[in-house]
This record gives sequence, structure tokens and C-alpha cells, in this order.
Amino acid sequence: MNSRYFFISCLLPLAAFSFAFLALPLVRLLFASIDSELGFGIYLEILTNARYMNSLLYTVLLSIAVTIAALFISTTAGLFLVRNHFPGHRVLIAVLTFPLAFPGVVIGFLIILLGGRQGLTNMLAQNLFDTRVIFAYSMTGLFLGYLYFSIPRVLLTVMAAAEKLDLSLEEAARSLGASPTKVLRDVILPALTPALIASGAIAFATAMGAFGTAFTLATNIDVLPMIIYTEFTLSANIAMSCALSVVLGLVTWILLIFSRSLTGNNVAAAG
Amino acid sequence: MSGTQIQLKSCSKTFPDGTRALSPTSINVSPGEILALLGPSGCGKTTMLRIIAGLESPDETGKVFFDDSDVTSIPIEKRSVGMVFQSYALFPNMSVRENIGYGLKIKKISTEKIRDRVDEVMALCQLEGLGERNIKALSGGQRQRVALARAVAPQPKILLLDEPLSALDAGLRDQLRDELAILLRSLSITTVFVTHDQAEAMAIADRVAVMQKGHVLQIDDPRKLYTAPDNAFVARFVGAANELSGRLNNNLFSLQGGSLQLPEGISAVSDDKIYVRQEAIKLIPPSESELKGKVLSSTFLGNSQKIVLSDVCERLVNVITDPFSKYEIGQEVGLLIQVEDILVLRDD
Amino acid sequence: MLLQRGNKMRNISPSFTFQLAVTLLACAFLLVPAVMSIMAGFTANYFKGISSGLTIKWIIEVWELYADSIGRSIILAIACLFFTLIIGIPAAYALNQMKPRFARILEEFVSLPLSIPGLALALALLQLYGTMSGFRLSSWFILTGHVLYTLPFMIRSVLAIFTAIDLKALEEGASSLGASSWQRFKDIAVPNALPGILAGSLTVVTLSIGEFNLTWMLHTPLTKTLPVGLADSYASMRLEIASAYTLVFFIMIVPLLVALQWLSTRTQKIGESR
Repeated sequence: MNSRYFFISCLLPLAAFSFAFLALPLVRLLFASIDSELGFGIYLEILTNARYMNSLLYTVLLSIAVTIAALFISTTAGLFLVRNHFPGHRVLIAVLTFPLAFPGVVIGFLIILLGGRQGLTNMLAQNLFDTRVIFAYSMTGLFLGYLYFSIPRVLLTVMAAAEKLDLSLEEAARSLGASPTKVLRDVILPALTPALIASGAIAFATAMGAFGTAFTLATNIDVLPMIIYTEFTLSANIAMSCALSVVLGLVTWILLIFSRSLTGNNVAAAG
Repeated sequence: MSGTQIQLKSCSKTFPDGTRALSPTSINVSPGEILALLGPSGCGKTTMLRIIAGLESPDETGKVFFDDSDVTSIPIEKRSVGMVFQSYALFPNMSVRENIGYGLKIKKISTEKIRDRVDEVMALCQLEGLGERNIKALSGGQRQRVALARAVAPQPKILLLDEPLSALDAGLRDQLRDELAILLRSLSITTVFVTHDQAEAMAIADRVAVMQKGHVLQIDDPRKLYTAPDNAFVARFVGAANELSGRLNNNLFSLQGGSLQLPEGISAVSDDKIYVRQEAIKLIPPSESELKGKVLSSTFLGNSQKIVLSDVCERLVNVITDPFSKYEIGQEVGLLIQVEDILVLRDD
Repeated sequence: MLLQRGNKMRNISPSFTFQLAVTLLACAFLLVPAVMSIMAGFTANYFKGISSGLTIKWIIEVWELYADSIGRSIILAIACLFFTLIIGIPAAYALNQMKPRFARILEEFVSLPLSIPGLALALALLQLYGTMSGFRLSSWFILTGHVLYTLPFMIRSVLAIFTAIDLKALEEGASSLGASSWQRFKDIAVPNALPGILAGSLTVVTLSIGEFNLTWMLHTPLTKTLPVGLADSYASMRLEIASAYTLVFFIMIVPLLVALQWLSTRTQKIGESR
């Protein structure tokens, strides 16, 4: 077979599938968002509506907080696990990375088991101190749930980058008198920066778009994906839900493109 | 001479998996001396350097002294050593100037003093005008000099270099070897450097420690190592030596191609082998010699030529001779070897 | 040269203790609720605790209630794997041959489902195909979503191996021996990419079984999947059943994850040995 034809026939299934189920639907989504009496004005409506803007603000703040916490925890744990080998090492890595594959709903349920009405902390608090501690349905619950699925994502990237660190750079810094803290600040963190930007962007984008966790926790805090869902199902405000989806999709996509241009890395959010 | 004395006292290194990288070793490096650790890869030279640096700790019994102070349990960051790494390990997030000044910054020296010292060291290492460059924009030779400048800027007690020239290509390496020798001598810091290249060791060091399989076989100045090696490994590793095997009978050494008269008093030649340097063999007409061989090949090397002889003994014999004498392939030649050039050595 | 990681002199220090503490706390945070859920699934009465006795009746009940959605998830995962393989492997092969600039753009495009939230994708699919009721009401609609979401993982996994083994050089070798495009693809590219194909396959199956964001929007009462059933049980069933169902989910995906971890350490070595 001619190699040119073979090359094209290799691409054909992908091209057909992506065109029919990715390109066309996304274009349709854009048209559906302006398919109301507002037209493109619907995007102006989002900017002026306090409920949508508050939701966007909450979602962004929550995602930033989760990203920072996940970066801190996963960088500490990742460096530790790369540098220290001990019995049970692989088990710890497994525990810290397996939640990557848990759907958001399951994570929501796990947070309920931890901080819900029948959760661990509430039962302990009632038995020991005779008080009630319930945080699953609040901002704290959302934060912990998002943290739960963000830790593994950041950890994997940080560990992969930490494996590749040039040990002689650290030895050089130490030979010049740098303390472990200074080695961390002047050598290790600068070398990890691309990985931290990349994984931070993934964590942020994933948190922005997370739906299952918020859905299960059924909090009174409306994160943007929950707003899109309720606009679509309850209010049947299809144009608005589409417009909000476009905004959410654009924000996360542009952020990831931007982080990639900073680091030159291929990164992807998932979930 | 100024400088710090280094003493290793029965330092050995056994890794957790049980491999012995270094057998118990004691050496002294005098103040201001330049010592080369020479040997093939895996001989323990890098391990010894890392023990001196404080990057590895020796096994229980070993001790490391800088002058009179025991530094065995002091980590590298407190030892005041300057180190040049094989890969140079220049910090990619800092400019040339920041790299060189890093050790001084750690010491909390004032910005003006750092600037002056960095300027001074950059001039010393011929790096003027490169201060603001990014590390990635430097050539191999420039990187090597930045690494050295960074190591010496904080005025360390001792200087350690791990294969300082091995990352460079051959032509540049020869040039930088001589520059490095001059520079190190002008610094007069006690220096230990690791290399697998005997020419490099000889060009730079005051004394060379030849190592093999975790042992130091011989420490001597380069001339002594060359002319009076302690054993066959040193003879072969420091300057090539021909191994001639034969049979000794009443000071007469008989080989395939004839015989050689050995000096009086040589009684036991181990394994019936003697060693001769390549340039210590003179080629003469076969009629004038008791020992003969056949020319297998001749290679013109510019300032000399290399003749490979067969039929002298079981192995081929290499001879370095003047570049312009003509030898035909298959031609029979006689070998002239002065008695004082014959090395009788313990086998390794 | 013998190099040792880390250094004994520095190991037991405040920073070591701190790092260990953070690592263990993070592990506890991720592990404790999962263990609680597993225990609750076996406990006769969660409110009375383990003392009420261990039982598998909740798991049996889960099976009776949700067997069809569990079965549908498994079939969907296998079908999804099939389609990602036949679309993904040739696509990765072609991407590897393309000019890097075009390959990047195309990869960027097919990877959009990784950066655009599942909810938005589901809405897009609903807007375009929602009215085609034959398609909309069948499991094919969900399958489309799953393939859309998992395909980038397959392509990246295979493409990574192609780059790591320097397929171009191998192929040049094969063509110098007279191999045609198709022969090079089936004799050189695919066999050498097997570790990547396997890793991609495990990822695809794991993600398909756990996919919720898209599926929740695309499913109908007759096309529920395992995670949709999970959401349903969390909302309306007693805690023990919800836990038992979560347990079933863990049992299904943990072996896949263990295999994936084992494979990834092996593939890393393949990359390093080149």
C-alpha cells in the first residue's frame, strides 16, 4: 500500500470521530448558548448577574485554595517518597495515587463518611466531647473533597519531576555551604517549578470543572458546575447553561494552554 | 606552604547492598599539594573523593581529618570544601555571576565584597564579560571554568574535582588540561582530583594515587610512577608497557624471539614476565641482537611512529620510535633493551 | 560510579520528621474514609458499629438492586476499550509521523475533553444529538461520551512509547529491508508499543468504569451505569448499602490500578534503558 494512503487511513477514524462527536457538538454548544432572545447578550447577563458572578468567584477561590494546599502537601510528600526508600514505600505511593481513578461522587460519599451527620468526626466528637462536628456539607467539605482528588494528580507529576532532579546540583549547593532549607529554596524548588506550574494548572482546572463531589455533598454553596446543572435540569434555561459551560470550558482550556506555554510541557486535566 | 592537610585514616566504604567500594585506606595530602586519584571506573576513586567531601560517610572505623580537626561527622556544607562536579552542576536558574557568588552569599558576605571577589575570581578564570550570561549560553570550556570559579570563590580549605575535564571533547580537553594545571598551581589550595586519564593526572598532580578495585596500589610523583611502578597494573595503567613472557635461567631470559641478559641478582621473576616501556625498545639490525621480531604494522604518528612486532613473545610488542625510519611489513628486526629499562614487577 | 541517594548525615532531622508527618497525614486523609466505607459495607448496623456483627447481606442486596448497572458498566468499558484501540493506535502512529507542529495542534484538539469539564461536553453532545431519540436513548450515546473522554489517554500512552523507543529509527531500518507501511505498522510499531498499549488500555477501562460527569447527563433511567447507580444509592439508600456498593466499585478498580502501577514502573525502566 502506498505510504501516503496508509498514513491517511490511520488518521481517518480519529478524524471522523473527533469531527462528529467533538468539533460539531462544541460548535453547536456555542450556537445553543446564543439561541435565546438575548443572543450574545447572554454573556453580558452572566457578567451582571450577582448569582452567577458569586458562583464564579466561589469556584475560583475554592479552586485556588485547593491548588495551593495540594501543591504544598504533594510536593512535601512527593520529595519525601522519592528520596527515602523504606518497607511499605510502594504501598504509600499506591494510597496517595489510587484516588486518581475515583469518580467525584465516590469522593463526595467518602467526605460524608468523614464529616457528615453520621461521619467519623461527628461520632467521635459526640462520644468524647458531647458536641456535634459536621463539616461535610459546608465549604470545608467541598475543600476536603476537592483536595482528595487533587493530591494524587499533583503528586504524580511532582514525583516524576523529582526523580529526574540532578543530584549533583544539590551536592554542589551543599559544598558551597547551603543548608538543607537553602538547597530546597535555591536548587530543588526552581528545578521543580515547571512541574509545579503544570500540576497546579491541572489541579485548578479539575477543581473548576468538578461536578460529582459537589453533587453528592449537595451543599448550599453553588459552584459553577452545579449552577450549570440546575439551570439545565430544573430551570430548563438551556441557553444560559450552555453559555456558562462555554465560559467554564474556555477558562480551564485557556489556563492549561497558558501553563503549557510557560513550561513547554504536555499536561492534561482529568476527571 | 600554606593550606590544609587532609588525612584519611583507614577509611573504607561498604554500600548497603554489601558491595565494597573502598577497602580500608589511609592517605595524607600535604598542605598545598595536588593529589590525583587515578584508576579505571569502579576503582573507588570517586567514593574516596566523596568521603573527603563529606558526601559519603566512611564505614565505622574510618576517620577524616582536615589539619588536626576530625571532620568525619561534619556534613559537607560545614566543611568548607570547594567542589567541581563531573557534570559541573551549574545552577540553571542563576546567571554566571550568581553561580560564582552563591557560596559567598550563603556566608552572608556584603554585596560589595561579593562583587569584588566574584570579579577577582572571574578574572583569574578568564571569564571577564560573561557575568550576566545564562548558563545555557556557555560553551563547554566556559562552563568548566565557571564551575571552578564557583568552587574557589569562597576560599575553601580544600578543593575537590571530580573528573573535571571528562565532559569536554578531546581537543579542548588537552588545552584546558594545561590551563587547569597552571591555575591550580597558582591557587596553592590543597587539591584532590579524580580522573581516569593518566595524561591528565601526570600533567596536573604533584603526586598520583593509582587505584584498582577499592585499593590504592601506589602513591608517588608522576616520574617515579612511570619509571619505578610497584606492580604490573601500575606499569600498564600509567604509560603503556609491554609485557614479555619467557623463561628465566641463570639471569638469561629466553623468549620466542631469542634471549635477554638480565642483571645479576634477579632471581625470582613472578610468572616469568618482565615489562618494558614502548619507547625503551630500540630497533637495530637483526644481526646485532640476540632478540628478534617481525614487523606486523607501522603507524605514523607525526612526531613519532608506532611499530607493532610479532614473534618476540606470545603477545604483540609495541615500539615507539623515530617517525622517519622505514620499516617493511614482515621485515625482521633486532630489539635493543637497556638493562635499567627492564621492569621486574609483582603481578597484580 | 557508585552514587547513593540522599545522605545519612542529614536523614534524621526536623525536616525529615516534618516531611514524614505530612506524608502520613495525607495518606491517612485518603485512606481512612475509604477504609470506613469498606467496613460499613460489611457491618450489620453501622450506627451500632462493628459489634452489631459482620455480614455480606448488603453486598447481596447491592447485587440484587444494581446488577444490571454494574454489568452495563463492564460491557461499556470493554466496548470503550475496543473503540479507543482501533481509533487510538493508528492515530498515535500517524501523529508520530507528522510534522511536530501539526501533531501538536491535532493532539491539542483531541485532548480537549481533558481540559473542558465533562458537564460542558455532555451538554454539547445533548444539544447536537439529543433529538435523535434512537441514539439518545441507547447505551451507544453513553459509549460515545466514554470514548471521547478516554481516547486522549490511549493516544498519549501509545505516543509516549513511540517517542521513547525512537520508532522512526526502527522504521527506517525496516523500510531499508523492504517492509511496506502496513508491514512496518503491524511488525514494528504495534509489537514495540505493547507496554504503552497495555497501560493505555488499563487507564481507559479504569476511567470508563468510574466515569460520572458525562454519564450522569447522558444516561436515561434505562441506561444507568455503576457510578450513576452509586450517586443514586448515596441519595436514597441506607448508608450500609451505599458503602457496600462503593466496596464493589473498589473491588473492580483496585486490581486495575495495581496492574497500572506495576506496569508504569516497568515502562519507566524501558524508557531509561534506551
